[in-house]
Amino acid sequence: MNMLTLSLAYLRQRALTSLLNLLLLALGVATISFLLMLDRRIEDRLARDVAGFDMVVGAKGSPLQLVMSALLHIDTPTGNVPLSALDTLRANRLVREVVPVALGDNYQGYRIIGTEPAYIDHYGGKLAQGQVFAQPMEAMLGATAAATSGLKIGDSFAGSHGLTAGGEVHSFAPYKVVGILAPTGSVLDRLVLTPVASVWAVHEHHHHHHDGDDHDEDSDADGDHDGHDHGAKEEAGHQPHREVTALLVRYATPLAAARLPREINTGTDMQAASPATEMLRLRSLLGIGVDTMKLFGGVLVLAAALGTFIALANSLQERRYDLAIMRTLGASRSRILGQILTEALLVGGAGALLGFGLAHLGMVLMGRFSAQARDLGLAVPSVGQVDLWPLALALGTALLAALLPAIRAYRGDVARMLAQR
Amino acid sequence: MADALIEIENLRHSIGGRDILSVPALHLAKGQHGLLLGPSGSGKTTLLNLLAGLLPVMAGSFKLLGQDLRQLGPVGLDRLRAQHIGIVFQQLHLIEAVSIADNLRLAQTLAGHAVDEAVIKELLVRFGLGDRAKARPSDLSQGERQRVAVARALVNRPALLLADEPTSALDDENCAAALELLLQQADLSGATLLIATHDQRLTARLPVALRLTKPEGVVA
Repeated sequence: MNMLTLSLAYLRQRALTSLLNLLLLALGVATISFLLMLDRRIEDRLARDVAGFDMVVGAKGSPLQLVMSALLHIDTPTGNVPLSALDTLRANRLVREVVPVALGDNYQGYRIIGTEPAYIDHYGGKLAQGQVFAQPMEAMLGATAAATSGLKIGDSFAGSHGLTAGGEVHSFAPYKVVGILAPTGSVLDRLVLTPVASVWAVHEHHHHHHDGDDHDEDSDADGDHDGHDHGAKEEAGHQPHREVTALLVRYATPLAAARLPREINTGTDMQAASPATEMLRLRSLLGIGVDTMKLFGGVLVLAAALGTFIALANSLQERRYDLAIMRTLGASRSRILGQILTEALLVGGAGALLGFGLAHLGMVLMGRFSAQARDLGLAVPSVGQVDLWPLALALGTALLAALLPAIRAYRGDVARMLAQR
Repeated sequence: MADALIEIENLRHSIGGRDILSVPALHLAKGQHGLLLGPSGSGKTTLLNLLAGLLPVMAGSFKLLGQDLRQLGPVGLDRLRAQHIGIVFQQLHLIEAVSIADNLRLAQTLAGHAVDEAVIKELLVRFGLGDRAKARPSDLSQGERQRVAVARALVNRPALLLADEPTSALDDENCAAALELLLQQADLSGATLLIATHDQRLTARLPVALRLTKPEGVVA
């Protein structure tokens, strides 16, 4: 009969108290672990998805919204910008690269992005199957989009109106899958990629299709914010005035950061937003909430510590004769100390593991049932990414809570204890 | 003294400067049984605690199995107690969280021995508890609990078996049964039995090794 089995026997003897105490500790660990994982995943995701682009140019509005819609593909766009801006920027010697993005439709909730192959290269996208799109209405699927939708090379599909699932289906303009990308761990995985011309084509078809129904789509295409702006606006006589949703810009020189945004913001109808700045703003906005929740998790762990302390103190008060008897049976003081700390470690360890498991379960469930979480690409992090300090915190808390009762038992006068009975 | 187990000379123990125990001499040989007889407050339990190494020796000469207890530190006293002394308490003090077999296993482990299932089984059978090994102490009768307590005290084959008021709460019949149990099992284990008691009924069966009186000023 070793310390572990005896500790387990004592924990079983007061099963309800042990269980409640363990749950309290688990909830604290789960809250902190969950928030840490969420915080880290969001941070990683934001950092990865905005990396490399120095500036986003789009319609005037919220710069944060522009960055989130054009780079992270979370929010709705602020509107459209003329295609001519692409050429203007490309001609600027301060600019190294400009990649256009045109949003408007989705397939099963995965956004269809009109862009150029450079966009795929930027995120390190590699073909798993097929080839890169070359013609309008050819599409490439990100790894997640392909796996979830079940689409294969050669399959056709029709996009739905808007940026979230459930819109009107554009069955008159089907896409053909020509390529499937390998997983990148970036926003690319959850996108459907096609030439910008596809988006214009769908839009033109859409307008022709609805002209007969007296349906005026211009209210959508005219830089509106409802999330299904097709990036092309028809003028009189159906001569399309080409537009894109945003332009993703890489600077050729650091000097560009000082000049280009100011020139665009003051001299055009467009706005230039810095992804790095906007992400900082987003982090600080999110940070308040996350910090508050972390504090809440800390309070839970503290409450658990008090619970462990009270439970152990009460248990040891009840068992002081047992401990005295153990001393008469030959147990050294250090053995008694070890016995109590083993019990605390068992509760702390089990609470920590349960809390850790709950946090992971929370991440899995959130990823499965929350569309926003899917948009953020949240998933359970691999072991290498896991923060282990909540586990250490739980164990430390349990040990600390046990220390005072353990020291009391360690110092206890066995003869006096037995005489009191 | 050949085969001396307990050798005490001029032992005194005090609390707060007041003597609560004074033993001019006590000698007990291996295998010799006896009583520590005295009224409440005479220091019987204190002497038992000193014999068990649970209290430090303050003054006088005190040897157990030839070892001077005053020379032993806390660890040495723990070891001496674990290896050579078994104690049966009036309240029995069984560990209620585990089975009676586990009570015996625990006694072996705490004494630093490997668990010897054969010894445990043999003891339980000897005490008529062979079929109750997995029972919790709370499931047993008082008589069975007392047998478990004695079995636990003997599981490490101690040289000295100490019993503190083992019969004081028992009627004559149960008193005789408990005393026989202790004597019989001590003999079977080759242990010396020393019973601290104020129960005069035991004097008919065992010699008085030491008669204690209440020190002046002590009120029971």
